[in-house]
Amino acid sequence: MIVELIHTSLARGLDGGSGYTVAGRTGGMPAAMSEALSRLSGLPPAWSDATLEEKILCAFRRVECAGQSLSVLSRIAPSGMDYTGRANRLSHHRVIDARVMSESDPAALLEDDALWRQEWVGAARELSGGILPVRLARDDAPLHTWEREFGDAGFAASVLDVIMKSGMGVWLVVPAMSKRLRLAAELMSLMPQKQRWQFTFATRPVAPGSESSVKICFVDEREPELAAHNSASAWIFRVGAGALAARPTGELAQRARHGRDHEHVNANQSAPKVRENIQWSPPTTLPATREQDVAGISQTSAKPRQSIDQTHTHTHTHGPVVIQVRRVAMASASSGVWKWFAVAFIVIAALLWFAVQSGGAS
Amino acid sequence: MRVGVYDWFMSLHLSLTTHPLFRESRVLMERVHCPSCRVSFAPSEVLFVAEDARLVGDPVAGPTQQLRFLPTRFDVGGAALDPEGARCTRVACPRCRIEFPRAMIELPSAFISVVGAPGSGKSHLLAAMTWGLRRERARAGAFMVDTEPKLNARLHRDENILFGAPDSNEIVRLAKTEIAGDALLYRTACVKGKDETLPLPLIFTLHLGAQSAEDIASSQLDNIQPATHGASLVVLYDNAGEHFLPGADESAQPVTRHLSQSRAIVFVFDPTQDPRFRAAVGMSENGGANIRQDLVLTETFARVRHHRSRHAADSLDVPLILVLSKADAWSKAANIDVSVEPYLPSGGLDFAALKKMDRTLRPLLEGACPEFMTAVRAASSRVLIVPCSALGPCATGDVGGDVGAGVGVTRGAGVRPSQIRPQWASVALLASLPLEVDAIQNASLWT
Repeated sequence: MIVELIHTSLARGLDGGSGYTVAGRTGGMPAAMSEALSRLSGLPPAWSDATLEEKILCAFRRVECAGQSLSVLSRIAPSGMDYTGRANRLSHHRVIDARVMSESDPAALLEDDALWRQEWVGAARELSGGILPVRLARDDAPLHTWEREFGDAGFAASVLDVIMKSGMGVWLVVPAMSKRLRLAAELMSLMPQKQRWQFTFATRPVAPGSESSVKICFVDEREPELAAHNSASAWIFRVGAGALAARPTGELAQRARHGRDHEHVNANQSAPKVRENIQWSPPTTLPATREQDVAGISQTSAKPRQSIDQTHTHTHTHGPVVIQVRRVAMASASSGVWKWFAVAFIVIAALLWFAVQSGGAS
Repeated sequence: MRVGVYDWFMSLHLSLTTHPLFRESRVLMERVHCPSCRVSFAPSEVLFVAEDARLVGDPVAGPTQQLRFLPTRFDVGGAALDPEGARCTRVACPRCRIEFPRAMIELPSAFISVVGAPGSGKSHLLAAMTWGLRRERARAGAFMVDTEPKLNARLHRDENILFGAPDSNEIVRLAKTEIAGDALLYRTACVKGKDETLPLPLIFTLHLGAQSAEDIASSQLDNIQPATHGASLVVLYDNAGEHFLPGADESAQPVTRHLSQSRAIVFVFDPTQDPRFRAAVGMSENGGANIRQDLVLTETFARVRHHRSRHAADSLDVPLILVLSKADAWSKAANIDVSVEPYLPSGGLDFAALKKMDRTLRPLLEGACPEFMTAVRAASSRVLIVPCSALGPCATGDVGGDVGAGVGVTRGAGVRPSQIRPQWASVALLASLPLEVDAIQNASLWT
């Protein structure tokens, strides 16, 4: 049976309060579960010219409630005006059981608008429940949305790799007007069905580290919350930069680009097969960027220049010595030693000037 | 020669006296209250926020926050150095590790809670009152500035919507305050292994005794100095009304515990949500938005009593400023004139005008909402009643919610910034400020 809860602004809620309150829930739902789901109901403010669709938050989260872990699908969307004439939102949560997990996947369920309430009509009341239909994303299609948004569907494989390595969840910045839920659904299609329920996500910002945090947030580049964080933070990723700078070349990336057809082609060419099961390694914390890493990157990028320098030194006999002196000078300049020389020079000059002035006056 | 030596010594003296090593020591508060989790601590326990970009992740504040640490190394200016040697100036609470302004350990703070039922107009009132005190320092005899602008981002958003484009005829509206999920309103911290959602306060530096209008007019621009005497911090809280409803005080979401520290409570009473008040002043029905505001008030003061561990029989002396919001919608019908604001020509509150207004509104409330006035009498021994219109007379009408539906307003759609003229908006805040609270007591205004 479906366990669900609707949270919106009403003049009188199911528990007696007004304003944002429980409008409907499956009969017999424990109070602790009702409170836990209510806490997930907030909708973060969007940027000023966001469309209605862009404001919608779809999420698959896992929350702790009375000692057990709940798998919760949520769709939180603006919903006209409330009883006070102010903008309202409607949060619809569904707690997913083992049966649904065995035959559907979260993004496909969220993509089916018919399963989610768009508005609440009438007074608060208890809901009778029902059965969720099976919804499963295709896993044999190329990732067209990824290709359209990022120019290469293979980046989905890189993002999956980043998520697996991250211990705290990541934000993926996506271009304006992106279909964020579709991106999530296509990303899931790279995984076997059962593992898709280990992949928590949200299509609007959810603070990493909180009890309702997710493995990946698809964050529009115009999100106001994005501006509040340092864009160089280790948990904010952009395609084309940092860990997602290079175009991926692995087999999973090939599958993202060409779908299952790619495997058949490769099989004929006796190429290595794509792994059937993506191995989920236990989360490990991404190491913070350190100076050594940065130095390593700069060394890698400086390789062609080095080779030019080397060829240059072959043609000039005194070249290495000159370069060495230049390096010492540059190192001392960047370390700030020259400042002390300058200060010492000024002090000596001032003392000399003072001595000369004193001698002249006497 | 003598002149040269004298100049040299003077310049040496000047450079020494202005050098950080020889600066006068700062006077710090003995105890500081965290504005988010309310725990009390000594300034020496304050944690610093690491500045080095590599020190990301804190076990309590969260993996996305910079590390909080108790400093052991300082630079010559007294600023803490983080483990990577970066100079740190931002500070955080030792318990919840949420950042707060450094000024809180240097200046006294007055906590003021703005309370009210859902849809009573708290957010509009806050935006209008702070905007008023930013602008009208001569008239109000005081002014406020953001202590840390970054921490008041949510209020700036509301102020910009209402007052950012004064000539605009585009209809705007403030969003309904969320109960969770708004990163500008709440922060989640993992305290002792348990997630707690805590409120982010609005913090201002208040300068009392600002110059009068004549002083400002007669002085040059570069001579106008902020009033340095009487500076203190004002800590305001804007909660969703749902948080004040009975049963909403959860340990996992202790967002109203600031009531225990409040120097004064501003209770926003919305007369348009009370059917008997509407009937008494001849207003039409508002579509069924009838809320028991007396229960919200009783619940508020029950929480104050619980969190202050006060005996049930003890009377609370927390000043209660009762703000009758949306005066644009009901003042004409009730024969109340809010066009003249209670300020003295020389600046500051006119207590006589305040007293007169209090005496006018009290019988109106006693007659229309006796149960509410009973709750008021039981709540606090010090009460002051003032009207307020956060949007002004152009926003008159008979609509529920925060905005009216008159000339500048479409029902439920918002308000035109060009027609916003707040009335009595800053009065409640001025009356609740520490020095004014004492002054009002001396003027025997509390009833």
